[in-house]
Amino acid sequence: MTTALPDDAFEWQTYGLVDEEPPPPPDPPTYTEVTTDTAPVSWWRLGDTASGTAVDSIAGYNMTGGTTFNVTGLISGDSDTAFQPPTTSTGRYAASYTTTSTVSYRVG
Amino acid sequence: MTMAAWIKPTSLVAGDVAIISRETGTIQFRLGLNSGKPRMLLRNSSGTFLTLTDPAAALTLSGTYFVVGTWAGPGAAALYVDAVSVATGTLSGSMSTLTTPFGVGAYATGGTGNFRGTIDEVALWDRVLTGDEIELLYQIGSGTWVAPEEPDPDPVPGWLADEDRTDGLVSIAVTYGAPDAAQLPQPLVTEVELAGQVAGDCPSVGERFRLTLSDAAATALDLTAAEAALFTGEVTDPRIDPVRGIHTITGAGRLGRANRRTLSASDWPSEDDGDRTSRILDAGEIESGTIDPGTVTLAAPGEDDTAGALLDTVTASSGGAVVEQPDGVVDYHDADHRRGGAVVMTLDPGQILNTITWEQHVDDVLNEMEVEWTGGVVKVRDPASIATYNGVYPGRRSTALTSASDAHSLGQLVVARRSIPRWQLPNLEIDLMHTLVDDTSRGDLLRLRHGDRILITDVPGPHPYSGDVEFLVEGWHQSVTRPAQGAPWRWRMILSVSDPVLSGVSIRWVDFETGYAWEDLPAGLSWLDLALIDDPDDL
Repeated sequence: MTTALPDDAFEWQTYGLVDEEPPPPPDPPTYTEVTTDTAPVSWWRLGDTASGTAVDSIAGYNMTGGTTFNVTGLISGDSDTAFQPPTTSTGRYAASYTTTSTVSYRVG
Repeated sequence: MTMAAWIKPTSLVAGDVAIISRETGTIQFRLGLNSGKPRMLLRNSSGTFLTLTDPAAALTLSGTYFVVGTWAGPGAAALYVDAVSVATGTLSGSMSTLTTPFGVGAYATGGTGNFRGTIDEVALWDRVLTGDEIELLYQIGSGTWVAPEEPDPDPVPGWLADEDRTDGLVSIAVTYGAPDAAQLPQPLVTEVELAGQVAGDCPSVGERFRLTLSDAAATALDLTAAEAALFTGEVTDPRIDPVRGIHTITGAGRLGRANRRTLSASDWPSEDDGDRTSRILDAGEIESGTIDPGTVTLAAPGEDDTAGALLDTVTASSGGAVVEQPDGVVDYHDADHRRGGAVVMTLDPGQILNTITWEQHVDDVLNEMEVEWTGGVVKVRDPASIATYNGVYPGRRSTALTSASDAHSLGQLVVARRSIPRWQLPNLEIDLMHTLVDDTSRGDLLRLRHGDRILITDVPGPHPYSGDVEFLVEGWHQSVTRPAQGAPWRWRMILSVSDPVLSGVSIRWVDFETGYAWEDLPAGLSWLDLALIDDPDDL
């Protein structure tokens, strides 16, 4: 059980945080942290190192297909890779993951 | 909704290509390029289309772009390129059910519309991201993030006070709760959010912090000023929100509990099933009138023959003078043959015991505390009044419940009554008794937690219990009565409940331990239905 106390019920005092020097600026958050904080419903990082499946790290709507994976990613400071669709049609791969949704990974 | 992707085109072809699309011949939504210009297409459930295209020149080959499309559905839609809104529009209605294929890199349904280049970090949201959120994603992803502007020098190094405060403190919001609060006299603080501006580093995991409660908060928690000042915690999850410039830390600690306090009716020792911290106080006091002569045992039994917790100090006094300060532990077994640490004090003939106080280390786990004496009458001091009890477990008041029935009915409660003059009782214990054929199913009777509510319905009146009476479960303990040879087991659960209705009235009771009978049952009061309420909001 969680109970909320009245507003302004508490006062904060620092404890063991004394720092005489001006504090350095905080480190920037990572792209993963920022994206996670925004609570996407689906997120395909497209960082798969082997072709076949693009993982939805949120909802699990993984996509299949693709032929050119593991290319240099586009996020600064992030080693996660990206993918490139082929420039010509090579067929379509699809998979059903729920009874109401079909997710396909279109590669050409 | 919001859809977003990072792209790096290597070829800009004429016509449409798709970065993200969902369609089966008919487009539901698509984020892509049209002749090298970012474009978003939306179709509502009525079949109306909205197309937003970046009016600027085509993208630059081999440049990296963050393309985002949003739609309030119904309402405003916007197309962003590198966190800059480049096109806006409005589309009524809502999106039809998304059962069509979803694709990345080309049209979801066919072999055309191939995007030429690299695609990364595709994401969907079921809401419209704010401009600040899109800007932050772009800044972090592109490596152009700029730290929030440094605030003015901090009067309290490390943290900046609220703007409207001059005392160097920061107002914070606190929620508290304990996973098993039924067993704790004070709650654990589980979350502490610092909502002020941040000047210094976010505290790191393991750092200690101190929280000072206001007088109002201390009153709300029934803590003394000294207890309220004792809260400290440890940071477990520090985070920073760079958009708002706010640090959020999550910590855990404990409020109060280190002070001696006077025992009240609700503080009486209670049994427990042994795997939780007992709700017993870690410190307490009994004031006695006469135990002359006799022995008094304070014991903390353990499970079965395992030694229980030891008391740190026990002091008996007479007229303010310490008459004995026991040191050591005797071999103690309670009625259920459980062994534990105990202290026995022997009073000489003519010696009158005025007080017994004890302290227990705050972090120790006590399964049970028992106070026994060999004879006489013991008075328990209460701030409001004095009640007189006889026998072992002097504070126990109980009614009996039998015949558990369906899942939402605990059975029937019979209230037998006996007057307790002068006792203004704020709490009532309900003894749920269940007879079992064996002990294999004894755990299935009830599962109640602190904060649960039970409702006794349709109580005939007139008297203080007339109609429906709701009780808040403040604690419970349970035990199994060792049966006589051949007799069935009995399963008991004692609920500590309270309700303002009961305050200030004369409670009538049944002393279960002494087998007090129901002959004093008032006219018109018989078996009552007792129901467990899962959600107090349903009341």
